[in-house]
Amino acid sequence: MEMASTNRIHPAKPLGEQRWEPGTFALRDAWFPLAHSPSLKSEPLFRMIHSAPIHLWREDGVVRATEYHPAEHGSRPAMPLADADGDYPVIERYGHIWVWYGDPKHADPVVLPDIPFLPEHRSQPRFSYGVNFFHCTYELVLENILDLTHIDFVHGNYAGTSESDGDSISFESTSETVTMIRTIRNKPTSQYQRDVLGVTAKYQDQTAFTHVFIRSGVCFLHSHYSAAPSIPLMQSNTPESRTLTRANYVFGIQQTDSKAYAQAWPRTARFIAEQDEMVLNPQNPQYFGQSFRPDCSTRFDAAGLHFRQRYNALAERQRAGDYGYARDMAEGSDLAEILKVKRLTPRR
Amino acid sequence: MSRSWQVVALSSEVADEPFAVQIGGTGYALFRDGDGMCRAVLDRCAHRRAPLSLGRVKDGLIQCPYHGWAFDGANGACRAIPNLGTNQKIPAAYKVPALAVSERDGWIAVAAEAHSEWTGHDCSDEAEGRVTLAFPAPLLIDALLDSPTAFLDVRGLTIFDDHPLGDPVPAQGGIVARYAAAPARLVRQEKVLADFPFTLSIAAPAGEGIVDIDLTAAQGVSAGRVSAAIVARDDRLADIVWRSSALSGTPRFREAPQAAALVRAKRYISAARDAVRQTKAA
Repeated sequence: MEMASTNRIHPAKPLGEQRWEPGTFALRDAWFPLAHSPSLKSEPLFRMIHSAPIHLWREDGVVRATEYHPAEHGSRPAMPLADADGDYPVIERYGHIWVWYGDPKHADPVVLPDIPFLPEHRSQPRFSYGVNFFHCTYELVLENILDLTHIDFVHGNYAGTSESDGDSISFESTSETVTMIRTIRNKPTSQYQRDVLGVTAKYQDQTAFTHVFIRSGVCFLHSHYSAAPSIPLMQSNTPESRTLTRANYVFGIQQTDSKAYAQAWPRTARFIAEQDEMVLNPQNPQYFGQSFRPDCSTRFDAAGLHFRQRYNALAERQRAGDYGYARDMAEGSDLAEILKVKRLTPRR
Repeated sequence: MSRSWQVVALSSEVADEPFAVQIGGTGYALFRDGDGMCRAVLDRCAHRRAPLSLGRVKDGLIQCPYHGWAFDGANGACRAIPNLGTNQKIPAAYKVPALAVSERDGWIAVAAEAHSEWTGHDCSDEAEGRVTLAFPAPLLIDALLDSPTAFLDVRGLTIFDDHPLGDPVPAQGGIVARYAAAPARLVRQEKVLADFPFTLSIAAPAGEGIVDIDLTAAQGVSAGRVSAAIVARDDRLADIVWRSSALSGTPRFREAPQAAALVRAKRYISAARDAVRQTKAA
């Protein structure tokens, strides 16, 4: 497998000299997609971000997000992350309810992720979205998503084995995001594609993309196949606590002409999540309370290590009181081009 | 991990798949290599810390379920990383800690290093098992000496904790305590027993080792034995790995209600060990 790094900003020091301690710091000042829009009604939903409680509901058509249950709202002092009325800033977009976790004065719709493959002002059909839970801190979920080598192992029945005629990975990053692209030539067609999709080609080419937002955990995933259809996925990976990540997911079904595939593929989300949960759950406690012993890595872990560096850099800035967004975030490539999807909404 | 040998599993528990054990708060994965030899490595992949015990054994190596890194049980070295070409060398530092393993007489013992040979512990068995109790291991051994029914019962047998047969005595570096026992049906028939057909002897080692619980009938005829290795999973939980032979009833280790009373009364600070110390001093 070849490796090429096109990362634009090189961190100051290699990760080996830094500790990697996931679940020990709460990155803030970001929008977190806490619920699918259709699930929000007048009865409050309960969510958490880094153990901070959030109650969501619709009141006369307006979305409210508060620390306390509506029955208690106004009777208890507001916390620093809510405004003077005890409300969190909230936005409804791309079929999700987004809540700002951080200083309410800094809440800015400009830094809401641009999601080119989802309609901006309506939700997707019910069959195309859902939720999974991972019993681990969200940083491990993001590492899992950026680590494409585990796919051959953990998800081999859906993604095929690791055999191929050529396998290359490239990645790039900004201060807020990490993107990885893996290109594989002549990979054996997976059992799922043969049995369920009826793909007859024994081998095909694949290009897989992952894009993660470090603060919020939001990620996009998309795999292109030369002989099989594909649709992109957005997953929230909300850090509820250091032992629980809520993964609201939705598929960009408009990206395929195959109605059958658009209906079938979202059904695999739960099973694929269970495969990851099988390793993430027992992996999580191994990162807590352990003596510092660096993980061993190879060049295939470059994207994940890069994520760790970017994460540590962000945490260091925030510990120093700097919660702002660096200018490089606005300089990134168009995500529609990176993910190779047709854009449903204008680029923000 | 202790330098002295400690029994942690039965031979029958380690077969084709890795087997997880906890010793002193640390997890280890036991597995059989290509020659069928039992190996033990830290249950944590050197790559991204996934438990190796959830993986599989491939070509005599234990393979991580997450990314397929495979480790040699003899020395913990990483021997295979998927996607790496055969001409690419794996750094020598890429390894997991490996324990010394000795398998004898149906037991598997481990030590931090093999400074001496483990002598084994002869025991034929007709039944075997493993149970985890929420009780610290050292205290459990002491409590077994002081009040065996707090943790042990044998179907069809009544053990009299309040009828010791003599004082506890030192023996072979450890302690032996004896109690009266009788068939349960006899106890149901008689209100008070004047004589007891059986003696239950509990021989606890001085340090880490196997507790032998022997049932003896009149004239020293053996009526069965339970051998139990008591492993401290951590400071609150103990694994009991046991084998029994010739007992008429199946032994069962569990924490009886009086175990908590023992703790409250602090009797678990080994009346038996105190008695032995006093005997030695005299």
